[in-house]
Amino acid sequence: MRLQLPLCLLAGTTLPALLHAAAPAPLGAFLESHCHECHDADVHKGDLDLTALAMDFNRPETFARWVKVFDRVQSGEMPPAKKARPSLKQMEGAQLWLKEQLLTADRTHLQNLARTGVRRLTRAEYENTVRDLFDMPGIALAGELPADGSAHGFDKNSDALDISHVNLAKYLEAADHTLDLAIATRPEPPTVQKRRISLANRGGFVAHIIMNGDGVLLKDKKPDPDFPPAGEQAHLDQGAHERMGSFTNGSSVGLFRHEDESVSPYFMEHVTIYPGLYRLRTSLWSFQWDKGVVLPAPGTGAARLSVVQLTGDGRGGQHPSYVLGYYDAPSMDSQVHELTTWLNHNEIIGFNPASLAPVAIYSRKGRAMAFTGPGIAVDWLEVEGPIHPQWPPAAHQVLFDNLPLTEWIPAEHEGKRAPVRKKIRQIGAGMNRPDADKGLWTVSSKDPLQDADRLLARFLPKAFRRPVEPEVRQEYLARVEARLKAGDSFESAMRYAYQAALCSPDFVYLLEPPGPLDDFATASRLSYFLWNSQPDDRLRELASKGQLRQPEVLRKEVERLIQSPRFERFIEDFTGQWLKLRSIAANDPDKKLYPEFSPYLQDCMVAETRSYFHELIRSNLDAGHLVKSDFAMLNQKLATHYGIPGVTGTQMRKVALPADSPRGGFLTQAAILKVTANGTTTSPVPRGAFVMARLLGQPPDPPPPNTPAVEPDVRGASTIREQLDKHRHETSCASCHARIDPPGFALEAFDVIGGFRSRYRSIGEGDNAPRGAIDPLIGISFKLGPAVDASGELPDGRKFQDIREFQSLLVTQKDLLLRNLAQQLAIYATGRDLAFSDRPALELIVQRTQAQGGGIRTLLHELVQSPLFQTR
Amino acid sequence: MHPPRLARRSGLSRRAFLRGTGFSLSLPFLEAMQPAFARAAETAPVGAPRRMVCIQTNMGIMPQLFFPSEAGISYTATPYLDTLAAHRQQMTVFSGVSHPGVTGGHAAERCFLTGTPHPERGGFRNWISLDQLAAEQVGNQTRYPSLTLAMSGEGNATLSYTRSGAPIPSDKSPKKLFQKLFVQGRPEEVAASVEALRQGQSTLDFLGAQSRRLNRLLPKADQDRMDQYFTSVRELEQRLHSSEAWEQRPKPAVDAKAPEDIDDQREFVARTKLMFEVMKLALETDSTRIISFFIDTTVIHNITHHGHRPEVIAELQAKETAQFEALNDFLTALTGTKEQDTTLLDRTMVLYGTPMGSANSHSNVNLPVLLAGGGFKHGQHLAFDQQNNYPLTNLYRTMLHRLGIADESFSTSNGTLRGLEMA
Amino acid sequence: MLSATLMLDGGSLCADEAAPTFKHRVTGLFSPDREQDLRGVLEQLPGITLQSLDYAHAEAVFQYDPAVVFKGTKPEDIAKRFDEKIRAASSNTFGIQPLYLVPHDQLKSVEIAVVGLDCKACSLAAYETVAKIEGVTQATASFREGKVTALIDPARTNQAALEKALKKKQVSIPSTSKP
Repeated sequence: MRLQLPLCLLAGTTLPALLHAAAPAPLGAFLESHCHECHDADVHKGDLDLTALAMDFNRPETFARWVKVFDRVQSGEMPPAKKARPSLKQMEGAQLWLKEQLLTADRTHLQNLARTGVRRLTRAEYENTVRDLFDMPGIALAGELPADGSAHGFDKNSDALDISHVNLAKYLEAADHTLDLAIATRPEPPTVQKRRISLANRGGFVAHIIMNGDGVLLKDKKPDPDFPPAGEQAHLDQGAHERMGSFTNGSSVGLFRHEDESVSPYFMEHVTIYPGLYRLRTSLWSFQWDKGVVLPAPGTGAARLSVVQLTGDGRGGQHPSYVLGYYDAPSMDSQVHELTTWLNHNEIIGFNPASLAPVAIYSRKGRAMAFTGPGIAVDWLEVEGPIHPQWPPAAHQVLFDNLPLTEWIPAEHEGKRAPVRKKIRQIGAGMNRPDADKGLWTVSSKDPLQDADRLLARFLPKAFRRPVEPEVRQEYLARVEARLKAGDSFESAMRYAYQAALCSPDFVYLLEPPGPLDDFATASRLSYFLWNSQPDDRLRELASKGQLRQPEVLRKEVERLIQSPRFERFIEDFTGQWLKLRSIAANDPDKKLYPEFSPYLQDCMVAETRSYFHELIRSNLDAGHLVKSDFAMLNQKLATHYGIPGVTGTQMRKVALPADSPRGGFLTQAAILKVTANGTTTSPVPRGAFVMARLLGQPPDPPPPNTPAVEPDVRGASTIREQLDKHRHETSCASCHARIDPPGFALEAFDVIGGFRSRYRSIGEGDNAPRGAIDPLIGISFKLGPAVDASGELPDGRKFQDIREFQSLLVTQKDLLLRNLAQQLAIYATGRDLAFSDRPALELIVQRTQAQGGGIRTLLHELVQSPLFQTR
Repeated sequence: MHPPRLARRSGLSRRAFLRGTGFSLSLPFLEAMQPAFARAAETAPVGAPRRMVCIQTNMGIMPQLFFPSEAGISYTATPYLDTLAAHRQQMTVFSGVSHPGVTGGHAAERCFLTGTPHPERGGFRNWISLDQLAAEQVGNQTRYPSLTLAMSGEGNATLSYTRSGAPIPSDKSPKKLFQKLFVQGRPEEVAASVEALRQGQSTLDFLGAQSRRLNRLLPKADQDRMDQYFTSVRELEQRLHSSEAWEQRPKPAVDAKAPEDIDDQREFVARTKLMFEVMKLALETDSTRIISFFIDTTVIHNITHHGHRPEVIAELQAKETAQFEALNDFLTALTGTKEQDTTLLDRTMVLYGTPMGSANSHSNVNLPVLLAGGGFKHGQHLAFDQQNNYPLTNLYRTMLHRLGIADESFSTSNGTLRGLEMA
Repeated sequence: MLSATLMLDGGSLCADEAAPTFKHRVTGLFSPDREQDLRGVLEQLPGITLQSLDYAHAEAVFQYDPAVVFKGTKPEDIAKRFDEKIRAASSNTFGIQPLYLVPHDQLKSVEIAVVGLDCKACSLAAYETVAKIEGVTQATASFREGKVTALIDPARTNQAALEKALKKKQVSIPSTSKP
């Protein structure tokens, strides 16, 4: 039976002085009676000899070992269940004394230390900061910066954020690029162009595959009478068809073929010239195709829009791109989707009929006229932009306020150098054209130095996220002055100063005073926590008025930040690291074993976990929901994958789960199950370790050196469970694996892509596998191997038969789950690991949260209100 | 005589230099400007230059197909070594070597050229890598002090680390590398580059001053961190300065066309070969003398978990053999290039290895490593103790010696490599 | 200013209208409905009208005043210029060619059975494949009817050459080919 010490012992604000510095007696006696038997010089189980371990709490290694001793006794793990139980009084006495020693030593050690190491912004923080500072929501910067490291699970830590000359060089380039985009170079905005374009553009690849039968042209929801579908023969000569107008008569394009290494459908007729916001609209529907007849589709299909960066090199399909989203294509019913997005130079929109199984019709006899299967149709894509609510745009005004833009006449600027304009060539076959060149326009100033001073006084505090001393501003002004004297235009001279500002440590580093944070530092810490970016005007305003740290104001601000769309950045960044979603693509599932896997499914997996976490916060649900829940956030793709009926469409929504469903909670979400497996097999060990480390906050020790990894046998001869037998039978393994393996065993009920299984899939021997929910057009060659045994036993002896029973057991450890989440959030938000002496503060956060119902939103509030967050 | 550690403030001041009469391009003048590089010219060997290429393939090499069972000069070639048969006399195979204290499975990738122990632990800070140390000493002799290259997909695959332990991102595109090395800038481009470099240096000067200002206000622990920023500023400034000088010199002419990059990541052998080709050109034209090359075969990671399936093992062997063939071609190309009375291979050390002794067990001991060329008495299998490994960093110390860098130790080394003599 | 009776590239006929007429060979008339398409294209070329069409020989009589419509063009270049104009207006599906100099009765008729999609653009493709062969003066193509026909100069080409070209263009010819 597990002993748990009362919570009051952990509250640890200030303990009565008379318990301090007592003789080691309580601890000494305790160790002798209950520990030395196994942990002495002869036996030293687990390589721990307590007789030799000095009571020197000032040396880091000794300190760490004593913390381990404390924790093991605290959790009841030690003494082991089989041994005699110490009396509660004995235990408390010993633990209390030890705890006090550790706290004192830790506090002394950390006294006057600025706990959070000063750090630079992470890549994502840097990019978001520039985006928000200049209101350029899509400028691309992060990809150029060197990758960040990781420390204590997160990149928001000075140990993870080195800086080298390469970073500096990249900052200089990034600042240049930012200023290139921000500074207005013409008196009016670029002409807004709006046009509808087809997927089957001139000279394009989609036209080619339609000619060959991987798609068809449709008019009024029927095959285009002027374009028979490819059948026994394919169409001849794409050029002839283009000249005869086959692809420009307003027909819709219906595709059967999913993108693959040879095919990447692009909307080539718009190639972005002017970076900015663009409004996109598209009309989509789906259908069933039966050898030439258009029929209602089996269900709502899904199409993917992406943004593709044309690079002038690289074949189609290898251009860098990112997904804009997945959109419903209802059966036989054109649905118009609208979205606004930022596009950079030479970016185009890409398309994929994401819900289709991979088929290639062109190589089959009879081609489209012999094919029966689903298709996704796109009627058109409409692109409108660039959209500028004001001119010059906000980005320019951040730098130059409303100084007038005038044409640069060289004669008027004797001896001065004109500002430089970079020319970006439009790649590809866009129908959108650049505006006529209007000449060289630039911002002009009648009193350059005074304007410069004024502009810098506006810009620097905003960029540096705190008030800036006049002397510092003076240094920047001196640079402007020097450049003006050297013959630069006003724009170029100011650029010089702005570029330096965007690379200076005041911008690139998060600077916090030691001890309690001031209002500006609090504003930054808060916004980089919940928005992964700089404070906005409201936060700045509250900080400058000195009101931000008032508890009620702070509470309101936390609420406001959580309600904002920018909160999504936190969800993405935090789950990406805490739940390892950033490694979702680290492994490709074996094509033979998991033919139903697709990039669409993978994207849905990530969306599920993110929206689930968001929902827990939105509805302020408790930590039990991390492992068990009566609802899930699903869309059609995931619901089908999980075998849950009645969910249609691409959007994530809250779905009530059937009572006996194992889904619900992070534990059984496909994304988690994928990042804890490789592409071929699962193993209880990494999954169990994940549960322990990421959810329970009890990371297991690493294995002894030279322990060979067990290689799972996919020939189906034995299960991983059988292969891990040693874990149970060898005592040196069992001590850790008795805790690590059980969660992993329960999760053996799920494969590498998160599908539920009662039998393992194998490539070798086995029984024929039923199709289940797998798309009818996907070939199945895997077999069903041995049965899955998802039963296990917790270290405290409680048994479970399957995943559902395990979840029910795990959910009883709500306080561990809550405490761990609190700790993860604290490490993330403060940029430092938690020390032993931080535990009381963390405990207080947890207690206060529990007193208010234990909701995760409450936890966020309590964390921000706590001295843990408000102190450096 | 030991070359000095990187000193920041000795040597002529840059301002004095710029103010000086005219702008001389002669090498000795520049050397005086770069204190850290200064002494190398004295200790560098006379005659044809010596070079170093360090290559890591990160997903392991099946040990049973690499390590010969016999030691010495008459070892029986294993299937992988057989692929390199043409160069047997020009290479030494090692067994029983590894980096002391370097554990952590894949994490050891970061330490192949640094030897820093325990990369898997929190708070790990890497040390300077072998190639960067060498570049500090001899790098100023060439347009590019070193090239940090990779054949990889996403992420920061690099073997090279700075003094402060920061990873140096690698160049991944053979085409861009070729352009960087051989395509001349137009005169107005060069002039613009020089101007940009000077402006860059001026900006860095300003940034350095800003960080010094901040540093005065920060607590002690922060100052160390801010120091990294300051060091980076200085390092970049020095590089810009070197670049400026090189900007004025024409790039070498080569009788080759720029390669087209292969974007399909599964074609990793073809992509590796492409990079090897440009590397050879870079060495041949003395564009650099120090290269690190990270071959990232993560794309076959799945089959390194072969689950004992014979057909997968066969596939893995085919892939690994193809990699050795690519290496063989590279060595052949170097042998085929004459330099004075030797070959390019004789003057170029080629280190090839992997950070995991067995991808199967993720163990970091008994690493498959070989060294080709560079001017050593090769042709043998140097077998060390497989139970109690010999430090690989000793080999690195020997390699530094070969370049004329007589540091007393490198990373965790405790001497030079026993049994490997210079030719 | 050119006289109305001037002989140009294939000859003119005397006209009693304001503008003279000229006979040219037209490419792109691969089926009867192409006459309608031709008229539609000519609407985009002001000053040029179609007076009559000999579909079987792909020859047409146009009416235009060269001094107005081809102002500044040398007489020997007018047909070429006309070709350029009509190509630009028809997305390159129509063209103007010199009249074939061999008399009609010396031309041979050829008919090849073909199989393909009942698609106008495919017919254009098949047509263009044979029409560009030297010695082919006129051709038609219809996959609906399943045949390609042509008028050829037997001194210059033969049926086998046409079949070969069609096969190369992936046109399916059901009958076995003869050498």
